[in-house]
Amino acid sequence: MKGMLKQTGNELIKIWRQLGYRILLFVIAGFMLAAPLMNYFFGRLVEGNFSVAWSEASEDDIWGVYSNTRRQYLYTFFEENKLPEWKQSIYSNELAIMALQLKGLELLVNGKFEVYDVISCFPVNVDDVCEYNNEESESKYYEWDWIVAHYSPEKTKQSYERALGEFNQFTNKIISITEKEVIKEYLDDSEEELTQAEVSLTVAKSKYELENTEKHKIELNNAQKAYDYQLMITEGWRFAYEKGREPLGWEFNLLDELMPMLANQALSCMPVSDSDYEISPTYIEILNIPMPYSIYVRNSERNVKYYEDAIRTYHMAILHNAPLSQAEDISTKGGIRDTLMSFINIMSIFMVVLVSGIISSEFSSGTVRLLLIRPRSRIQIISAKLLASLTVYVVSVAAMTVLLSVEHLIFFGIGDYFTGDVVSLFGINFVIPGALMLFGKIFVASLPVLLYMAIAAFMAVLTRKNAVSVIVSLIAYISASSVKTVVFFILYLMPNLSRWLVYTPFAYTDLTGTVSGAVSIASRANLQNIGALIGGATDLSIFGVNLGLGIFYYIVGIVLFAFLTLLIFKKKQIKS
Amino acid sequence: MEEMKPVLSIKNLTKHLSSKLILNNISLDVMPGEIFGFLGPNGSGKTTTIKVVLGLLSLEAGEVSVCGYDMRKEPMKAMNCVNGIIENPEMYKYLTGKQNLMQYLRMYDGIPESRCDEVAEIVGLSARINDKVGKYSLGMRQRLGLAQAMLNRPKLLILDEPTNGLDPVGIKELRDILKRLSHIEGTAVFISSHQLAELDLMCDRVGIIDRGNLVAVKTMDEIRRLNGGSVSEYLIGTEEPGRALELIVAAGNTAVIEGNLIRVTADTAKGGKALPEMLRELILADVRVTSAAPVRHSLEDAFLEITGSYSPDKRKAVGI
Repeated sequence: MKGMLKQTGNELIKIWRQLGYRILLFVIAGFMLAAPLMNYFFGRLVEGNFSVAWSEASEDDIWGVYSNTRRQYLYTFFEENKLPEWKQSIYSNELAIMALQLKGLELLVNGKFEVYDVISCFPVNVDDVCEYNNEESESKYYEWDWIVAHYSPEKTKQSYERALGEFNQFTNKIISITEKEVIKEYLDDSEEELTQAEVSLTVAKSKYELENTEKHKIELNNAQKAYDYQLMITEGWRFAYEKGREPLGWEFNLLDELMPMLANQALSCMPVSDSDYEISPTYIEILNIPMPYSIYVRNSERNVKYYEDAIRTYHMAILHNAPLSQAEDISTKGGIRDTLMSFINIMSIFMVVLVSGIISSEFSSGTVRLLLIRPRSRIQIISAKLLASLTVYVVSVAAMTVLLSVEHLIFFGIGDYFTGDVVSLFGINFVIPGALMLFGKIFVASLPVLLYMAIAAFMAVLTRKNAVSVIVSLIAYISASSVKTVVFFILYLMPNLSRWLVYTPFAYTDLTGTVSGAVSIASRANLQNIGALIGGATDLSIFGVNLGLGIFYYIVGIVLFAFLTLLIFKKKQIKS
Repeated sequence: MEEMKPVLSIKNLTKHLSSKLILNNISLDVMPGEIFGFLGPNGSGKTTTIKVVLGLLSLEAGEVSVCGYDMRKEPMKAMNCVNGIIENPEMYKYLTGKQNLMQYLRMYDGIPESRCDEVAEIVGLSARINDKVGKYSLGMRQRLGLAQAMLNRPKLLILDEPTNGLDPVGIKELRDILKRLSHIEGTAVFISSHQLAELDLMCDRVGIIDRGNLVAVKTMDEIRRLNGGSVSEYLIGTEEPGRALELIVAAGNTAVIEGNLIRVTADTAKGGKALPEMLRELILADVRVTSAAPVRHSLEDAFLEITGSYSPDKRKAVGI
């Protein structure tokens, strides 16, 4: 053991003395430290720059520009009015939508476009599509990023003035509203929903008593569930209201979004309402799938589970004063996490190169002959190499975490750094402190890195060729997200035939989506963005993948390849 | 006197590589304090033998023990008392000589750091020990290789072609170092080389391997009297070669004239006369003799004869 540690020291010295590795590591770390600052300062530079070019942009671009512009706008507004964080997180979405609508109308009124009657100026949203579609079924609504219809200039001007009035009213409301009032508002809505759910339940009960069929039994069951959930949510709000505690962030919006889904489709087998379109206009259009309804109808059982899970999560989040991950795009913790995740991603390439290099170079340079004639077993020697690379990785990530935290504290303030998070593991939700969640995320994100390292080590001892080892490991790295995307499509297209897929390792080749745990509303955002979908940021949690199982598969893979590495190295004949 | 145990003992070593027979039933012992030369044409199995002994290749059949430790049962103890150079001693080019030595030093237990400077001093590298190995010449790398091989004060030092790239001065120094190590400190040195002249000057005993078979193990004395027995060979220089030749042949020897010298082969068993008698006869006959010397057999002769490499095609094959 002592011999192996001494040898690990030897290997670390060798790594450190190789200028190439050192420079590469420092360059990566430097870029990663600069990234948050660059994002911030360049973001300020282009602030509020709404571009007319949108009308010619592709769907994908619009989503990108939309979210950037929205963020720029929000920064300005929040800062000018010095809004507290809870207000920022609650209103950021509505505010951004309104601002964009206003901007679109303004462009129309000023004659930038031909004059149309404006149904909505929000960049294409299915709600708008539906609205428009109902009125004039034969239309090419996707030609515009703002949904517009042919009408008179006066009407447009009226719309603009009305929208301006609404916008001002809304911003004034945001500035003046108190926390208590917000909770009250949500509580009122929630109680109203509860009443509705109660009515539905009563209706279902009487129907069941009258006819007593299997179909009615299911309906009753669903109605009961819907009622239970609504009751739970309402209780959560009431609890918050009675305690007079501050709103917690985006969960309010999310709950707001979630409720109609609970009431309408997720828990029933009824045909789906138009609002289901919301799930994925882009997705549906690009894949040319005629019936978006099928998503819910076909997967309704799984959806129930999904929403049950989500509800439990939100409920817990409210009770434990924990913001949900959606709030990350304006949070300190989120900023650190995002950058760390990018760093870990790049580190996986660096580590593959490093592991392949330190093993294969011993063979290619012939130094292996002098290395192996010592009173140290081959297992000790190769283990020392693996341990040394692991040390490099752990130290790099730890140092980066500290540096990024310090950087964020200096430039962006402490923010939500220490608030709690909701995590889901093996179907159980719990709240953990924010800093701990950071470590959890680092751990999960590191699993693939360790696997690629183990594969690289295995290939290096097997082939003794640096290039082969690096290329094979990088193919594994690159194809991981594609495999998951393929699994996603199979699950999506044949949900009943391919259910077993979520238990195979293929569903876990990329844990990015799964890491967010139970907070699966994110999956809808991902669905809306075909770019993210192809890029592999798909979230399979809607199909019931399990983070715990994913971690298990990764650990099995890492152990397997590490073991094979030791075995092959032990048996290796040093012929040349 | 206590009977000495061999430092290296190889018994019935057989080895295949990619199903080709490389070593066939090799057995040999190396005793403490001796320099054992291991000779053979290229591809005869020298390096393979060394690699099996040092654990770089697996031990397929047979037994190898170093300092009494069986390589199968106690490999770590065995490796603790052996060291060496296999082929070119490749070092980490991005490290300095000292850092390279430290790498290997840390792989042994209980050797003080100062040992690095000692061995560097012994091989004459002290001045350049803090330079990067990438800047070293081949000869300097050989010296560093030798230095690392002495780090753990091995009882058995295995050197594979250690004279590669050394200049004549370096070779002389290497010879002195090895002689001191073996004859004074009692280290056994197992040295393989194709520089026959070099081995000739330093070895106590040689083993000759050919196509995987150990064909001979002889002391240098045995080599020198290779033809042995009654036959001897000597050169006589004279101002009257014609007359001298007549006398020599008349005395029952065979002889040829080579310029001013006569090469004589005498077989006393067949009535020939050895050098002292022949010389006396010539002088008594009043032949003016300018020089007289016995011909000593070199290792090369022995090597070529034992490996049967005299014929032109064989010579080509062994690269002579």
